[in-house]
Amino acid sequence: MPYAAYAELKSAIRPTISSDSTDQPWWKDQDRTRRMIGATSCIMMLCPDSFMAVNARKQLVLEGHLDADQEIKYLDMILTFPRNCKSSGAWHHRKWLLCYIYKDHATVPLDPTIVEEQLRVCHQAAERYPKCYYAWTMRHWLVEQLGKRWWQASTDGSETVADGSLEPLERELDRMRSHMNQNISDHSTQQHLQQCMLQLGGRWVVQQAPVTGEKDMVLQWSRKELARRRKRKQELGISRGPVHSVLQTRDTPRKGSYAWVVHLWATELERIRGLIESYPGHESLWYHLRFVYYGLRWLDSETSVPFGGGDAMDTEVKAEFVSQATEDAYVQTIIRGHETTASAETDPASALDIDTRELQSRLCKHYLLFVSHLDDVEVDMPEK
Amino acid sequence: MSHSPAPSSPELLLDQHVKYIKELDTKKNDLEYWLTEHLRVNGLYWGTTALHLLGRPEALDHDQIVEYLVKCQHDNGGFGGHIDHDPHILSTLSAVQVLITYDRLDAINVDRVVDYITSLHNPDGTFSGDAWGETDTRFIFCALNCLSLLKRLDDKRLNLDKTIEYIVRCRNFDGGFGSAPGGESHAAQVYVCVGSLTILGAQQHIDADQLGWWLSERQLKNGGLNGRPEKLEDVCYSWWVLSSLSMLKRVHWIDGAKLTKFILEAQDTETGGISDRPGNLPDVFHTNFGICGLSLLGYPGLVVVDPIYCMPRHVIQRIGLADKH
Repeated sequence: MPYAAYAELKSAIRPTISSDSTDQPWWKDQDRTRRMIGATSCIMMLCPDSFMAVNARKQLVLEGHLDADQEIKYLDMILTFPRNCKSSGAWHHRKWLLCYIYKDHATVPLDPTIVEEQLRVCHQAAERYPKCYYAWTMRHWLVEQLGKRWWQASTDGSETVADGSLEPLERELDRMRSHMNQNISDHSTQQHLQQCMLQLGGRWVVQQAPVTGEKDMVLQWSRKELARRRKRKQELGISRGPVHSVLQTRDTPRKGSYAWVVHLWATELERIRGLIESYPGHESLWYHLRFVYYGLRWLDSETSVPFGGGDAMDTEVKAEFVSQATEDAYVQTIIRGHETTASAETDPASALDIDTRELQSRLCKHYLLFVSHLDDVEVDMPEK
Repeated sequence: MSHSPAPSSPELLLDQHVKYIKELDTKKNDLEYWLTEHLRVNGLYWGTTALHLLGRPEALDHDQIVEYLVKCQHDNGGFGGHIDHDPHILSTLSAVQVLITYDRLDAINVDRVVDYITSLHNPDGTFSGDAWGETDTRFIFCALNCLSLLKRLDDKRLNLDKTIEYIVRCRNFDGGFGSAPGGESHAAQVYVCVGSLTILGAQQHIDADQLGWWLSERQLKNGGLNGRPEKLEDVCYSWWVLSSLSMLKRVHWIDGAKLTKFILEAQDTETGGISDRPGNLPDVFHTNFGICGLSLLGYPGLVVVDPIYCMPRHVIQRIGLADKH
């Protein structure tokens, strides 16, 4: 079948051999256009990565022979085949169609209702074919659309969120948390959840891009920059409280404020630590913990906010949200938990099997290495 | 279709792989042959590179190959994935790599190839895959690799500082790189970003220790490598991960002996060829990257591969690029 479809497509594309016809493009000829629609419909279903076919579909939309909204619905069907979920061509075609329909998307972010509709399609793809890289890439782009209005307000220093523009992002974050609970080894889900947190975090987690000096909506954490920030914080004598005290404060921080973002991160820290204990031996969960830890170190080193979190005046309290010491203590509780269940005589079913215990121990060790590596860098002069 | 996994102390089945590659174009009754028509030129690059590393460059007909590739070039300079297929940067790179490997660049119009690639350069530093605008860090690497091979990186139409800036925006907290800013770290995207920054002499933007460590964590208990946490091992990551480590001078951060054993176990002893993991069907893509991985690990009898360009090192030396990186 694909052989016949390709033969039809190629003969429709080639100019007709006629002594008095000029070399006009195929989309100006009714018969050739009809044949192209038929041939490309077939190839798209079997192989949306075929550039020849998917490009022709775009040409058909541009020339008005195919309706863009109908084409998106056709793509919905194509993406129900798990093999097609993996196709970068199919997902780019979708993005191209959305940009075609919403022509001013570069200046005016996509309407949240439309974004949420498209997020549903990505979610179905995630359930059909987990960890599909291009479906998640599309989803990041959609979430960026949600974040754009909020980012602008955040980087300008104004934090009023008058029109509820944060709510769609918060809904996506909640969806990711639920999805993560049911897909514990899905690193892509967790990484997307991280993107949601970054979009919600606004200017408190973005760094000025060191290469150009422009304000950039993109995360640019680096160990060197983190070390510089920590040095400045130390020089200014800024102190924090332990992160768990952030969760105990009675005040509801203003949405988008530094305290609100720290609260978001602290909640996630508690959540991921719980998941690691409930589901031992999952590398993805530990990787997510690395992200959350890094974020808290980043937030901790924010020098424009002198206080933040808990009772900073208590000199016995550690002067950082999290540190190597707090993570050492956490890992110790995990290991002690193993030892308790290993010797459990009352409920053998609760004991971890040896492989899982070994894996969890290795993951503990790697995590602590990550934590110590984060601080293990020389601080140079600021880069130009 | 039956396929047999290799025995427990395997060796490289050199002759069988040569036979497998030579017979690829004869499988016209397979559905898969037609579903992959758009990848024909890429397939030619994988087959050619594998044969050269196996030390059998004469196994395919050079003249036939050159004649075929010339037919795949469009007026705008780009190459399609097969005759009559639309031009794209992926197949353009593959075509140029094959032609250079056979030392037959004279058969095509190089200026037009450069025109095509520069036409895909965007103001933000990225390169599109084709005129329809898909961007991905893979396409940046294809453009830079190709222009570098053609000695045209100094073309005035390019703003490569912007390109470096864009790649840096794709760097994640774990030291890895994704397909776009905010994209999940993935070993293949790491290869194309590290390769691009290496070609441009901009490795200072890579946290080599942190990334090297992330790459070393791709190795699983069975010796194979995966591309992302908690994904299955796959022979092609023997290339993406290993070449990245090689460019970062940290190949020894992986257990080479275990990886070698894994790749060899993924060979098909009946038909030849290498598959993504032991027990599965082979294909030319995994055959090539398995052999490339073995070459990087110093497997005896294989021609040395260049970790940046993924071509025989002596070819890169011949065109004068070997000392640059």
